[in-house]
Amino acid sequence: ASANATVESPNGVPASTSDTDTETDTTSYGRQFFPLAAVVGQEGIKTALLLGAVDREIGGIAISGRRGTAKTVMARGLHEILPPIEVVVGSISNADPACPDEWEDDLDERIEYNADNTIKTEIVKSPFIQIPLGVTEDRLIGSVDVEESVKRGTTVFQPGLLAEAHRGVLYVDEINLLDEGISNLLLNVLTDGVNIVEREGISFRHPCKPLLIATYNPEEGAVREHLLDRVAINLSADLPMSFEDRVAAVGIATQFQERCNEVFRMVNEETETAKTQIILAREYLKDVKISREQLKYLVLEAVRGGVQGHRAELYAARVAKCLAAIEGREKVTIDDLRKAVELVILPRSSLDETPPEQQNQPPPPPPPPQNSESGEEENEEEQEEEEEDESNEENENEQQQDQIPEEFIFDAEGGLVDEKLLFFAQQAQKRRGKAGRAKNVIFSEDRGRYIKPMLPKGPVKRLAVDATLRAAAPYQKLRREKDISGTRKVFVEKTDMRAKRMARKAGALVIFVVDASGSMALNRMQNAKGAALKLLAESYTSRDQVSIIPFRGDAAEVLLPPSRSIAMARNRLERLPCGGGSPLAHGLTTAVRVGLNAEKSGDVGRIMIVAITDGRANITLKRSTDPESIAPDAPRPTSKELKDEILEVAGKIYKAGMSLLVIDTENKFVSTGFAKEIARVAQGKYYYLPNASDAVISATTRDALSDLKNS
Amino acid sequence: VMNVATEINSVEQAKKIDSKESARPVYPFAAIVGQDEMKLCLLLNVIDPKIGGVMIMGDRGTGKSTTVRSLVDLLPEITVVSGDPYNSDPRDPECMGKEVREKVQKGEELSVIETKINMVDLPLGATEDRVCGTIDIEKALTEGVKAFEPGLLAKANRGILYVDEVNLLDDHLVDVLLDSAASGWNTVEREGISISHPARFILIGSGNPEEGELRPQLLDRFGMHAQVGTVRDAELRVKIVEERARFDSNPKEFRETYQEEQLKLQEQITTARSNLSAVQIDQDLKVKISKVCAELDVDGLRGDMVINRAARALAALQGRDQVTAEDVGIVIPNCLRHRLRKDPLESMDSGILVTEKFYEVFT
Repeated sequence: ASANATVESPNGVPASTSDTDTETDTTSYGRQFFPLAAVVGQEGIKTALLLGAVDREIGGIAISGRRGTAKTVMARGLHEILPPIEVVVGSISNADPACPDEWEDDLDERIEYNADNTIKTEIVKSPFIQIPLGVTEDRLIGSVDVEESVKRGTTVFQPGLLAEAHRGVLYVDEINLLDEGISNLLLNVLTDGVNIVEREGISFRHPCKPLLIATYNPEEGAVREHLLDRVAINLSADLPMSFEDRVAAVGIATQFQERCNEVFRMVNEETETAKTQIILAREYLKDVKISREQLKYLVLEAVRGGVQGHRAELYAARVAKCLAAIEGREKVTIDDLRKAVELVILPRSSLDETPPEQQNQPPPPPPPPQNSESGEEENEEEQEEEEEDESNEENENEQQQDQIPEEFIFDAEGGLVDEKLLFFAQQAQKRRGKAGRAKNVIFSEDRGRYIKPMLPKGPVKRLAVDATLRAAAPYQKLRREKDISGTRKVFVEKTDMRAKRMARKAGALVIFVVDASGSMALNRMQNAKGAALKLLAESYTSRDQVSIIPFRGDAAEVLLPPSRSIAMARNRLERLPCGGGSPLAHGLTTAVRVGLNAEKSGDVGRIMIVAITDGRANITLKRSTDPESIAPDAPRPTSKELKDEILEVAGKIYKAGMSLLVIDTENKFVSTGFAKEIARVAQGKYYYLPNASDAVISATTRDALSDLKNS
Repeated sequence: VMNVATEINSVEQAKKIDSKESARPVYPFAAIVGQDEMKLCLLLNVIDPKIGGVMIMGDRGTGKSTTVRSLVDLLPEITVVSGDPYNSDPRDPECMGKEVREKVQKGEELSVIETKINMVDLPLGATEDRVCGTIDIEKALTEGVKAFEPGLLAKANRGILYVDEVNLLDDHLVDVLLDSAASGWNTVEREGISISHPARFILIGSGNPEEGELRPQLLDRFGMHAQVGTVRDAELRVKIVEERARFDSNPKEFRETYQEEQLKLQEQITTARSNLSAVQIDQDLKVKISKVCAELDVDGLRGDMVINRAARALAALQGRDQVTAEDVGIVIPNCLRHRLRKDPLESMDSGILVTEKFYEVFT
């Protein structure tokens, strides 16, 4: 069975290995991919893919890009130009006849020999395996083959995708959405180059050294740094496209949709050239040398770029060699080195992180002072210059780049924005880039994505059929012998039962409690509104919800109930009530109530209350909830009473497991310090941000939120 | 490893569908009052499925679901391999399940039947395994055989996949949908099953914007975006109520009164479908379309392509073989509105922005 499996990769990629010759004719079967050569523009990515085709151990290629930038198309198009590989007949992991020491376990026993006593091999199309997002662990790394096991009465290994992908391409679309458990497994195997399976009574190892190609859209959530670091080349498909190119690309894509064979014929020649180029380059690569000096240069570049770890220079050296091989040279030249630095080291340098991000994202949170903006431009200009300069000067420029972030802050100090604010905003932005997807996941037994099987606790809600059968498989022969009636084919006992472990994402709920009393009320409300909308605009990645509760007059009011909708928020916040008394205690209690209700609904993981207030209150909880009971001539509540009441509520917030963020925006020297006290009692955070804008508030909130999620 | 058996009795299936139809008659498309934008988008998609679906956003109770479901009557017939769970096209190798493909390669005769395009509902509570298909539990537990039970995506191949309240769909389902909608293939690697089958469908989604935002990646997969609003005209509203009441009291009779109009519309669609490939679009128009997209800073090229297709489908619908600037003008807001970068603080309808840019470029 396994021999078959290697020939036809079941992933929907043309299973027709044998009829590649006929493919150029008129009919071909299965899935058709847009040819790489027909992609307009994107030369950088094409080169990178070519490099990967030449040396699959180059360390992986990641392509980021906004929607519809042909990133997936290019990744898939690579398959067509990959030369076929020679494999040992009977191997489940495309074993290379040339290196027997990396063969999978027990292949030695299964090899077949030709008449002349050489190992039987066959030529197969290079595998191209896609990992779909819903992949389960057992299919990824391999598991018990239920059918075979039932028949034979012993555990039989069924190879997974990783086995099939060896010596081919392993393609992950939307890698940022891949389940964390799966991506960890994947990484582990790819770094080691070996897949060691130790599960369900199986102990097996096989080589796994595919070329990893990953694509993702940064708008959907960032990729974990850890993951990206394992990938040698990380490129963006978001390049400006010339207008003519755009029209041409639309033309050819439309043509492909209608008459794909025409397009294939058009680029046939180019595809063939690329194929030959790869085969030749693979031969050249064996002879390409890189000198010690050149290595040193790469290392220095990595050091100056502030790169973490040593992967960068390792990958860079490989890339440089590949570049030389493609052009048929035996020596690595300066151009190769510079290109390698550009492809591998530059994207990793810790200084370079912000510029590409700013292009992808809507304007950065802080209202950028004029001079800082010019600073950014300089930054970009310098980058461009750097490419043109000689390699020595390039170093110097990188050093200068090093200093740019400092200048950025330095410049701003004299500006309009307070240094502290800028700091906050920057923090938040930095965090945002690194935080990745919200880690908050709710595990359950009945809703969500099937993650893995587990031993059931109590009654089984959702039976994991696959795992149950795998558990039962080895005992089938035994049980069949014991069975007297002889009517059943499969014997599953209670101890075999496995339940599905499901996970679903849970967002956080951010409740803004805003002081809408007094003269600065409108300001605060506007800020809260802006911050809420900004958070919502990004909420689709993290499933966060936002609620707004202003408090004024005698009581607080839920102006915007927990929602994920921008449209709803905008409608509800058209009218911003202001003025009157300051029932802070009631505002906080209302927030707690809203939070608890949302928690019950099940889709909210964490709750954060953001109180925008100066801590001053003049309405008691009693008056808010039950105004009738207070006589009109009752004495005004003392400040102590009010404070005690608020602190009590603050304590409740902590006990309810919610976190509190107090933002004091009052620009007064006479600060009571009571707002700080509230934050302290609730074990929350306190920020003094006089005259903060909505951007700063949303940045601060986001910052605190990502802290909360990561804790 | 690969023996994936799939058998569904197509006759039984067809019977089931028939009985369902007689049980719940559909409101006729022609009887729907107003909501021209949504109707046009739907028709264009029926004419050219490669447009890539419609996203319908609007207030509650504005006939979103009714309209989509009423489309069933108008759908053209397609030729499928009988008994095939994936509705394989006997002629198009890209739209075939694995078994059919193997049969064709072996040169076997295929029995084919003509059938209406499938409309598959994706309910919110659907589980991932039902959507992409999963191991056939019965077979697995009784016979110990690993068989693939095709899911909704298989059923929707070459048909319509309708997701009501698409913005409430669970995240992991959205991921699955995205994957198949983007590639036209559904790849299953789970629970011991490894299979991949064609899943090309017209994705139609509807929802209320107040219920939450849609992920931009998913939004981009929808070729067009239609907005529906509450009808303000009192006369029209009265008419809607009356019609609906008539339908509810005697659906059969009501459908008969619209028989003629329905047939006319059906014929119009059939002609448009067959004429579509003959419709030409000038290079000059193409350039201008791309110019609008470029100046609006639309991500990627999907927008450009959809406008081209939608404009041609519109020309075909109106029985012309040449696309005019007016055609482009009519479809362009629906094709681009959802692809613009969204500023959360901007309350202006982005359709207006598109139209403004269109006039700027085209005049």
